[in-house]
Amino acid sequence: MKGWGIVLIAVLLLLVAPGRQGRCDEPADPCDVPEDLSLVNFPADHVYDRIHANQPIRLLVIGSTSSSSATIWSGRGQVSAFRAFPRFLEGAMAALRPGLRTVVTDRTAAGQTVTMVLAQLPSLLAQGPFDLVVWEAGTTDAVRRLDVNAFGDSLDEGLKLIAAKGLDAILVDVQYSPQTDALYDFQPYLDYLQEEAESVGANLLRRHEIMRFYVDNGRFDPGAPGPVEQMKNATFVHQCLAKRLATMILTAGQVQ
Amino acid sequence: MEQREESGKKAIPREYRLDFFRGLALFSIFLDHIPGNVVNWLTVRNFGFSDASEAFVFIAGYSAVLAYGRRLGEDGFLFVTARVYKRCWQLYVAQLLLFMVFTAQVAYTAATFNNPMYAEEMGIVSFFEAPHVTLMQALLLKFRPTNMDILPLYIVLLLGFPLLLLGLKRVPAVVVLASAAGYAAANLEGWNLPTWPDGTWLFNPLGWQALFVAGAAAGLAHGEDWLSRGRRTLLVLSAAYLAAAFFIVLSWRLPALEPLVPGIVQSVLYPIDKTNLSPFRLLHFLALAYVAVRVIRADTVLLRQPLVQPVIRCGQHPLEIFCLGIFLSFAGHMLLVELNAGVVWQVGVSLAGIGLMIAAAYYLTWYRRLDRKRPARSGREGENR
Repeated sequence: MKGWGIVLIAVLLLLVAPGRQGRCDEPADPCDVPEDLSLVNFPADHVYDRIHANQPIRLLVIGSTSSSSATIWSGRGQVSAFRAFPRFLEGAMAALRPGLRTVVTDRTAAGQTVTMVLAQLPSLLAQGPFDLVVWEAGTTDAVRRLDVNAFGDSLDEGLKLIAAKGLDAILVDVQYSPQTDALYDFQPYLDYLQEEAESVGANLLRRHEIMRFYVDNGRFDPGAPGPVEQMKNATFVHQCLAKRLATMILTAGQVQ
Repeated sequence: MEQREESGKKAIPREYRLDFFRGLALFSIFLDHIPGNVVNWLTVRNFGFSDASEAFVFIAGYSAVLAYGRRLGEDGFLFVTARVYKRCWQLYVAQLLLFMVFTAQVAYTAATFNNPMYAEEMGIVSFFEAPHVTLMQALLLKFRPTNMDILPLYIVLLLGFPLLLLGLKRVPAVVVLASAAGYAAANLEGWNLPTWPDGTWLFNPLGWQALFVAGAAAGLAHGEDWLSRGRRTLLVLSAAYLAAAFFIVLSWRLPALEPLVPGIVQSVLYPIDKTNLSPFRLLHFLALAYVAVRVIRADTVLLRQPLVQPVIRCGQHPLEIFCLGIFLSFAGHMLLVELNAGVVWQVGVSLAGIGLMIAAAYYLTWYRRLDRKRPARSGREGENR
């Protein structure tokens, strides 16, 4: 009987153990998103080559910044600047793959439409060499309600220019908040970005849907009133976006 | 713009299907204008390429002919033009009213939502930087905030309507050719009207007139049974196109289905342009309309069911209910944002909005009846309100 008791306890422990272990090994990451928001559809050959040659990855970030250098009172009379995701990208890459160096050249600016970016693209690319171009697109065009077909044409031309230089590209779509979604209709631009990414073979960081997922799941509240809370939220969101983007880059480079 | 029952020579039964489908379109427009609302999964745009806008514009053309077509012969071109332009003025006033509501919403959001993360989104709001210019441009219908594009299209279409009506009656071939040419210019050459501060009309009148003209032409043939002759092939083709469109739209939501859509179809199909009314959208609406009128007959008992009466009532007061719907969508969305609301609230706000639209429609019907009962005021019988 005693022997059976021990076996029973051992079986129970075995049954319980994986579950508990699983929980300990994978603490819920607040940046996590469902699988369909982290799809990586295309490989990044340039990134792959650089990683396997043990060379640093050179990223160029272009497009319309989410928030230039908006400053905010952090509570005790200090002013701190909000940092958007490109500023967290080097750290996020290093955290996911220690020993890999990433150099980010951030050329985003406020109020950049895709057509404006397209005009500057040759000179931006000439500042390289780069391996991967991250393009934040859609916000300014949607807010200014520019023709969605012209938006698509410029985007297409720009991505083809990047491809012609032999570089990898990742698109980043617009931010989400229920408040801004009430004022602007982002959907046609989001649709275009998705379709364009698909047709030229670029990966797309679906920032809008990712942020909507965070909001819907209570990970942050875009309408939080206090500046301290807002700054905390903004940093949380953009750190997460940097992490999601880094994961995407490394997955596309086939090392994640 | 409401059709009147023919009292004269040939009695054509009142076409309640028009009111019914227009009522559905009005509900859809209200729901679709509340982003992130689970209930708007029910609207037609999630089942195919076209949305409620197509139904609204087509029925506008159809019912304009019903309302003014007979008058052209009786009262002459000048009188009909005056009537139509009075309607344009009402639409213009409605647009300005909605602009004011929207401006209030923007002002409120700008004042309460100063989150640094959205500096870019909020920073470019040009409303309050140069209000004198913005207001002037709004009066010229060139400054168009989100969700306020369809009334200006309607105004432009109605401005051309008297000539269209005359043309359709006298030289229909010329009208069809001109309409096709305009549609081609929009879709092939990208001809469009400018908006302020930059950009072009979201609903390009040159593209969308095709649907309005199609509606008007169908309205002219109202009561004739040119559609009801057994055209099984057309019905099957329409149904097949609708099914294919549904599958493609489904593939946008379910990535697993996407590989099943052939690459050649994707490259031909996209973008399914709304601005110029892409042929795929136009075709989708026409197929949908054809299947709808074939399946739901004019004399069907379905339209006499108590449950559909509220929809028909709403469809009988398009302008008022449209404006109320847009207003309620602004209000409903703000409520959802403020409450940080979940699914229950989304359903609640949607139902309450539709309930208010129905209540307003019954009120308007009651008022109109009361107005008509008043002792004889010749010739004023119900054209606009």
